[in-house]
Amino acid sequence: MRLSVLFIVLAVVAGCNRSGSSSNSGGGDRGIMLLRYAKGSESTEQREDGFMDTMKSEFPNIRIISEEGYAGATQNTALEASQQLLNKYGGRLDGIFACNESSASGMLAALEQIELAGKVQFVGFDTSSRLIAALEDRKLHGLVLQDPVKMAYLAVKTMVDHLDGKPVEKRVSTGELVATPENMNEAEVKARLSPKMHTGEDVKPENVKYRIAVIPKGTTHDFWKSVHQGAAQAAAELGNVEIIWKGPLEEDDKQDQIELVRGFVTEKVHGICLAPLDSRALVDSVRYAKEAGIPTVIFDSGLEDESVIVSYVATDNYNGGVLAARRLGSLLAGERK
Amino acid sequence: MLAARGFLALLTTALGPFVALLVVIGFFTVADWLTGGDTFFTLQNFRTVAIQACIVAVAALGMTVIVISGGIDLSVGSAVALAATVLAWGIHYDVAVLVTTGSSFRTASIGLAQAQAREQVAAEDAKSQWQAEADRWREVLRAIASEKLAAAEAAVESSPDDTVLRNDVRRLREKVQKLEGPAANVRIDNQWFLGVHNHWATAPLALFMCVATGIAAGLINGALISTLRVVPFIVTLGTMTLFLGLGKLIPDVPIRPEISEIPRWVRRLTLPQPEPAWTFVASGVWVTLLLSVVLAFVLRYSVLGRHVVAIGSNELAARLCGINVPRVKRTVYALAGLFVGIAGIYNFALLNQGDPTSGTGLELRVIAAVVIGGASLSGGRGSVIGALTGAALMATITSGCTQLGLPNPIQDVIVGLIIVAAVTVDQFRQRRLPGK
Repeated sequence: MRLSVLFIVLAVVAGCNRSGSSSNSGGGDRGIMLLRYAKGSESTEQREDGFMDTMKSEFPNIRIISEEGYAGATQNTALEASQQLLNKYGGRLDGIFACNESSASGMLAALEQIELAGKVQFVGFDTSSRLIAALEDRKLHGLVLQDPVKMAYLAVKTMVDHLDGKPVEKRVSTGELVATPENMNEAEVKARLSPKMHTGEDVKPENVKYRIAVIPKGTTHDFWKSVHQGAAQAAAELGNVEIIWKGPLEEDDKQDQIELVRGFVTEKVHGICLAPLDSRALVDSVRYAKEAGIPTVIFDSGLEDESVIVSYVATDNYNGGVLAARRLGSLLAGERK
Repeated sequence: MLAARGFLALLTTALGPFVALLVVIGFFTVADWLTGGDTFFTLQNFRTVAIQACIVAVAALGMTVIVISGGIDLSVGSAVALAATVLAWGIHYDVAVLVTTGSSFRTASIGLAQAQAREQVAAEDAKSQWQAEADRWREVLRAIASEKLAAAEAAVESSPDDTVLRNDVRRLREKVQKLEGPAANVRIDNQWFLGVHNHWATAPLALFMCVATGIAAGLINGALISTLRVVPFIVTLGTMTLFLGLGKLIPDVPIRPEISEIPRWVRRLTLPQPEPAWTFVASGVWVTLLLSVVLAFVLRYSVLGRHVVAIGSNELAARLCGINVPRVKRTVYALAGLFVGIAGIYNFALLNQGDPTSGTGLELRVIAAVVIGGASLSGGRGSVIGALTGAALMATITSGCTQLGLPNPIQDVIVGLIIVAAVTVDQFRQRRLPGK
């Protein structure tokens, strides 16, 4: 019994040593880190792929010393993961890319705690007041921005076009750009850095032609409040569309979102606009809606089976990752000169 | 007067949760009707809510037994997700072939791809080593593919008009030819796996592994609780994280096997639309009901059932009566593990993937269902019908709030209040019991 425990301990120690030595070997030991979001989230995986591919092809001299870290669903999990990662790699980091708002915020907090913020080139994705302040203070050197308001606006518009019998594009892209400390006061960038957020109640129009359920991934992040704003804006413009805004009870709960889609099928809404929490788990439910005669437009994140949807409105997340890599790469290349 | 009091007493006992369910259904039906809706009290909504309740109820059945015995299981959520991940793993890697030959089409393909990649970047003197490695994998792969080809050809012979099968045979034959040819590089991409189907025994074996994982998790809990004599709350708080970690240790989670390899009846378990239509509700609902009946009988009429209640009511007295308390406890947690395993199948059926994190939060819903159903967290009391009612009550509230367009915070408040009310009723009952 005691002997076997000893063996396990030895094996673990040996394993740690081996992985430690392999990460140290090979070329200069400084490099950059990619902080991932969560497995199975299609939109962020696209960003990660775009970033990694571009780094490897366009900046082969920059070493990626860590790409295995996952930030998890919330700012808290991101902070914990970042603390661990910085403990391990902190002294050797030249640059960091965090691929969504919560992971960037968590990483920023962790960098501030050990007073590395501003000393490491740091590029994030999506915006929040905290990240904007960091951009101003040059603790953050780039933010890839999507347009959540436009995304939901176009999702609702596309749905209504489809319901009116007009042809719609299968894929609608909403465009992405990079905010930097230098360009952050330009009008276009400014508008995207602080997009409008929805406040108050949804207004129900006098005569309702279409009732459309809009299902986000969560309801508390600023990003989703802007999405809500976009959907409400489209409804206000159209005048005869009622928006039913309902997200999963607990942020990131796939099962909850499945139940929401099924619930809206029962409720016989005219159409569903959905930001799928999982590219596979939601397919069956969207197909169930289609079979019941209720069309679905997805936004923000994709689905494995696109035959069940009318259209997919989203940021080109892969391109977002490419932009992040170019920003970080050029910052580091400039530093070396 | 006495009769009225008797009726009230009945309300606070077995019928309580059931009456609450009826009241909630009535409330939402009227509210839906008043706000101009007509979709809450419909067959379609019943089907949706029923299957939603069952996903919680299956695990709640096992939890009921644990709670009656005076214990609790916080690890149920991560154990369910772990079982589902094992199931997904089994289907993804064609486990029937994996256990008989030591590797499956997928593992051998991955091995070959890695060996080929290594061979290309290796130094001149190391090339032959990787080439030998690649040859070895190619041979393994060829053997597996030929066997699959033979099986597919036999299937075509029995149903010659099946064009899908014929296509599979054609694809498999191409693969075998490629593998038999000179050691040219075989391209391993998504196309490579087209037409390759699992062995018929894989799905049953994977399902068995899923249930076995649930039982194993229960056995671990039971063993720790009965031998260490630590309170179940703490032990299962630990195993909750332990099972989550074990699940994440499985490489490449979440595991997403090909949809076509998931047995159709498994996928139908949690789909709201029943097939065939005369079965009225999803097959998963019927399975839950069947399990409930069996468990109710076990609890009421078996020796084990009596012992569980005895231990939950007064463990010391039970021990003095000669009941082997540790053994009964181990049995209780293993039995609950059986239900955890079955809940794992439901989880997999719903998400079509094995994700070890997908059970987070389930434990709270399960415990809430059991408590709302009238079980006492101090042990000795609880019922199968109560757990079912509790799960149905929560699913009904979720559905009703969505249909009425109530915002999420309100829904949280309502569910919270109902749990508090259920526990209060329980306390009230406890005080009235003689001798307590």
